[in-house]
Amino acid sequence: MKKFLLDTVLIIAISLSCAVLYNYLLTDPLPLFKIYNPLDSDEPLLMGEQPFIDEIDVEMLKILKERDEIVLIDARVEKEFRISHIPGAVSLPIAEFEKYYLNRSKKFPADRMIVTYCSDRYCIDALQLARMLVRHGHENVFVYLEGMEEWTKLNLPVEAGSFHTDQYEK
Amino acid sequence: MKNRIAAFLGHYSVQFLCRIILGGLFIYASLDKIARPHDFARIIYDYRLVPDFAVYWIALILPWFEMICGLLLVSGFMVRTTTILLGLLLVVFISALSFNALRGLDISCGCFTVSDTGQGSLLWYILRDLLFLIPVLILIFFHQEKKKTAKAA
Repeated sequence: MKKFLLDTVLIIAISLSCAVLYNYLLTDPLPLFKIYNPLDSDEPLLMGEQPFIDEIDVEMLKILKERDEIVLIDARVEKEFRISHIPGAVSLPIAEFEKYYLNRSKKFPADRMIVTYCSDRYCIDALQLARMLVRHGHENVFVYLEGMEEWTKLNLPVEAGSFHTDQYEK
Repeated sequence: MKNRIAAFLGHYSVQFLCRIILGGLFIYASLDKIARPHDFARIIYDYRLVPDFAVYWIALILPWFEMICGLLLVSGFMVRTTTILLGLLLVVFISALSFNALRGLDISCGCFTVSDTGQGSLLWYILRDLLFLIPVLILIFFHQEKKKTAKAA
């Protein structure tokens, strides 16, 4: 038992040393003393792009929605969108980005503030969609990280049915 | 009959094979995670089982722990300790996968690769990890420490 504990401590110490040394040598090391945030760990934007993407919370989202200043985009699959979504949101499933976004001549106005969301803070689609939009020239893109989970938990109104990008463009 | 099975499983070639399989498995599993720590951190976060402040640390140390244990096992050092540690690690993996399968999470396994293409059913991963426990059990119960064999001789 004593040997086992000693060996274990030795193995952990070696692993820890190798890991920390390796991290130190990485060009893009893990920020070990920071609390994990999905926005940080996402792959860096293209060269020259600024990290425009930031998180907004539900209070901010409600204010912006009331003022009608944003385009709210739901990044989940269409089936989930049809069941329930935040009122006024547009469906743009990430897998169908090309179909619904790239092939259109009229896109979301580039100067308009865009907020993307998906199911909850663990789903990556809203963030990926936001990054794609930034790459296509949108300057003000935000992510409502908590997504549908928080929205429904707070008993805020939801809408059902489909509302696609096509309708937004009309 | 029992003695025969024990003698067979304790035989050097069977033990050697188990060591190579288990050690090799963990070395192989660690490579992609070591190469892409950021992607692995994302996968750990997706498991929703560890607090946010621990995500980066686990993402960094776990693959190196697998690598070191694998190397020690393959080269025949600290066989019993590394086997027990890897066995415990497998039990942790199986529990984490089962827990997430039970609560209906559809997540990337992050077992051998950190890319999304490595996705499959969680049930299959659990079954596979259970199979990996076989060499662990053989090594724990039938491995003869060098000292003992020297004494016996």
